Amino acid sequence: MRVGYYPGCTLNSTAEEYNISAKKVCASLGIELVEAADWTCCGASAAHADSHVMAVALPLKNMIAYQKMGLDTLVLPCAACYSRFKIAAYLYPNYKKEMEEIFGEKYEQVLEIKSFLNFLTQEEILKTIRVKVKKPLIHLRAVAYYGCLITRPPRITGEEQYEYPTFMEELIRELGAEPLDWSYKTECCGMNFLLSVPELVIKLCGDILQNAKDVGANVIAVACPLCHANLDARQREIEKKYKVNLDLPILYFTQLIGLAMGMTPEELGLKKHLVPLRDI
Amino acid sequence: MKASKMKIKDQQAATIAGFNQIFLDSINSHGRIFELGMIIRLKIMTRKIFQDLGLGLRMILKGKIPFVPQRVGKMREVRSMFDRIREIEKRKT
Repeated sequence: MRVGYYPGCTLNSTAEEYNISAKKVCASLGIELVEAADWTCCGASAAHADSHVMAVALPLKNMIAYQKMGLDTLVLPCAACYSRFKIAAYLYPNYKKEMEEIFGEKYEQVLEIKSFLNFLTQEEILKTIRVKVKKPLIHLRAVAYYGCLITRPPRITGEEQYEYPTFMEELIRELGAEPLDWSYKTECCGMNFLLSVPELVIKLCGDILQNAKDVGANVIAVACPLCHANLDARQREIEKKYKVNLDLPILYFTQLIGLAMGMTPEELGLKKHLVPLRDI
Repeated sequence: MKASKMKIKDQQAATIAGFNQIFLDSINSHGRIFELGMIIRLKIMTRKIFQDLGLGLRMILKGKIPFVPQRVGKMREVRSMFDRIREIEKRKT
């Protein structure tokens, strides 16, 4: 299987371990990830706060590049990039004239845009993962954190269970870990306010982490580099502010798959996390 | 709303808007975001030089904050895209 892969800026910096684990897992599953050479930033939340034309143009520049590579599916590991690409595809008919003026060419809308989580949890791939599990994660009690953008807004994502999705839990169960029910799976982590309004992130992530702790989780599975950065990097501050002991490692779902397949924590970049995973 | 609370909200709104501009400038300059450059500009803008210093150092030690921007080819295309977007936005107003 050959699919387009748009890593997004953070997978080459703060979330390098997500990129590493995604590529290792896909190589093991026989999935070829094809990356456009000169992809550019999707604009994240900054572009649409500035200009609607820019918010459509930045993802579309990349969509045109992947379309030219003759691919029919494009997978995106970052939830923010995924959302921007889906929204750009949705809004493209309204901005056709402007986009043709900017790029001098048409976007044919042939690409199926999928979040990396949706892609790896589709039935056919889940079956392959099941066969490849060598070391079931029996010590892990995991909550699945989807954040805002993987399932919402439903008119853009097409998700039916957008408030209480369960597809990451199905994957967690296949990996031998115990998925737990909880109340914060689609709550917001504060996204890119990590730098500009950290006090907001501390409040939102404090609530998320506390609920995970209350239901008995010893790991949080995520599918977004911004969710990871907020929950992992701010955890020590949250513990200090609310005088609680959380000690909850935040793992990308690709790292969980890799561990269950028998890959080592070093191979999967687990040492890059600020809150370490102790119970393997 | 109390005046002191309004002042904080205004300050937050200005920081968010400023951060968005820094973000877009980074794309215009490099094609992708360059976190270290953005953090330095944000620190200068907010004058909160020492806030998050410890966290920043821990992230640097974990290799999460590269010291050089990612390299993207065809930067002329990126800049011309930004110019055309600005032209269209200008016409609309």
